[in-house]
Amino acid sequence: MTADQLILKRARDGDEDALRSLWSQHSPHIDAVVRRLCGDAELAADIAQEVWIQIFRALPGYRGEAQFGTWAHRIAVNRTLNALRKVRRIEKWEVDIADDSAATEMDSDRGFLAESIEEAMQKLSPGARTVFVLHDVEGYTHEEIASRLGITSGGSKSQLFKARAKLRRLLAHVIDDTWPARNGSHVASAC
Amino acid sequence: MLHLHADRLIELGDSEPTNTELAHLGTCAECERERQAYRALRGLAVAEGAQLSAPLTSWDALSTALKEEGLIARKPSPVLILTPPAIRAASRPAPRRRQASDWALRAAAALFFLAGGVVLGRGVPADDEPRAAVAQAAPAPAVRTDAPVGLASNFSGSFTSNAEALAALYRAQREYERAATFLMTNNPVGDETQPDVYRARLAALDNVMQASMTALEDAPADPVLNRYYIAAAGARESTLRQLQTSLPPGSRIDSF
Repeated sequence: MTADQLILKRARDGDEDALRSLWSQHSPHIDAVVRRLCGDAELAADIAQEVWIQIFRALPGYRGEAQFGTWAHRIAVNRTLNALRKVRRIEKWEVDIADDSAATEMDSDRGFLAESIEEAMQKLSPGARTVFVLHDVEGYTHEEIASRLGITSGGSKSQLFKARAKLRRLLAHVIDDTWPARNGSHVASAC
Repeated sequence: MLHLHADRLIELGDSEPTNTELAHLGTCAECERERQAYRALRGLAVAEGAQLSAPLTSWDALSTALKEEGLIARKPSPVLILTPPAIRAASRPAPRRRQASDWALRAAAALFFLAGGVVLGRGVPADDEPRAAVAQAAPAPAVRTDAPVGLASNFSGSFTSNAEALAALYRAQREYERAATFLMTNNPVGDETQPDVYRARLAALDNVMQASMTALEDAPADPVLNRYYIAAAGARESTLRQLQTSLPPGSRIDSF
């Protein structure tokens, strides 16, 4: 039995030191995904505690098929999405999907340039941020995102494109410092 | 040719263009720039995924909630955690004072370890061939006064790092445990067949266990102390079995 397996065994038995060891080892990754999905530090802190309680609650069901970190990450994503739904943040995103159109979304931050992608993501609508984080940052497929959010994969793709277009503009000075960004839309015209 | 559609350029952030698109991108700087911009954005996103976060929760708050849920046992068992030192260092940096305390505890464990070796090795004859072989292979089990030779020589300043010293300590402990088990399970000699000898050993082991248990209350995850506690518990159990077999038929252990 490896040291990690021993820690997990003790954690399942409710050993506080083992639970703390898991928390301290994995919280930098788990809390990061919670923070990214929430886009709000205060809300993220509330949800992170729920996430960890859920991880430890589910620990007896962990059978070691995946790495503990991967398994816990999955729980963190699901739990965070559920929590966001509860605080009605997802509803805004569902409205976004229902109202999806080719028109550029209202942008009160026109002219704003973000210093980092983390800052830029906070300027996204909750729905677009959720899809962008899940797809581009966490590596979920559109099908997986659709099933978790109860939408179609087309809706997921649409939100992703909106998110990327806006981020491309907000981060223009970072990713394209030679040409001015074009408000995220590339009009099909002749060269 | 028309520019590539905006959505298609966004999609090309993480997909490959067709041959036709590739030909266009080779001649249209504007489309190629947009494509490269979205690829760069994707790179930023992937890099963001590797970013770590400062903990959003404190262990105190979390443990309180876990206790309320009954997910933390009321009284944590101090038995074998075995968190590797490297993980502990990365995941739970200890304040300087605590680190000093850990080293003091490790030193105390080493002393217990040697003392235990003396207790367990007492009475083993030097001319006994199998035991002599074990004693040579194992630095820790004390055979009279020259037992911890390997360990003592390693402690004489030849280590280049804490990790190296700890590794040697773990090796010595493992050897000690093997040797102690061997000595107790392979035909004890002379007076050791007498119940009084076993009783004396049990009393000594109880003292060792009590001391290590006390130390574990301060450092429940310390791997050295945990190993020592486990070794002493194993030796005690084995000695109890030997005591049982050394008693006259029909007798049972009430005290020792």
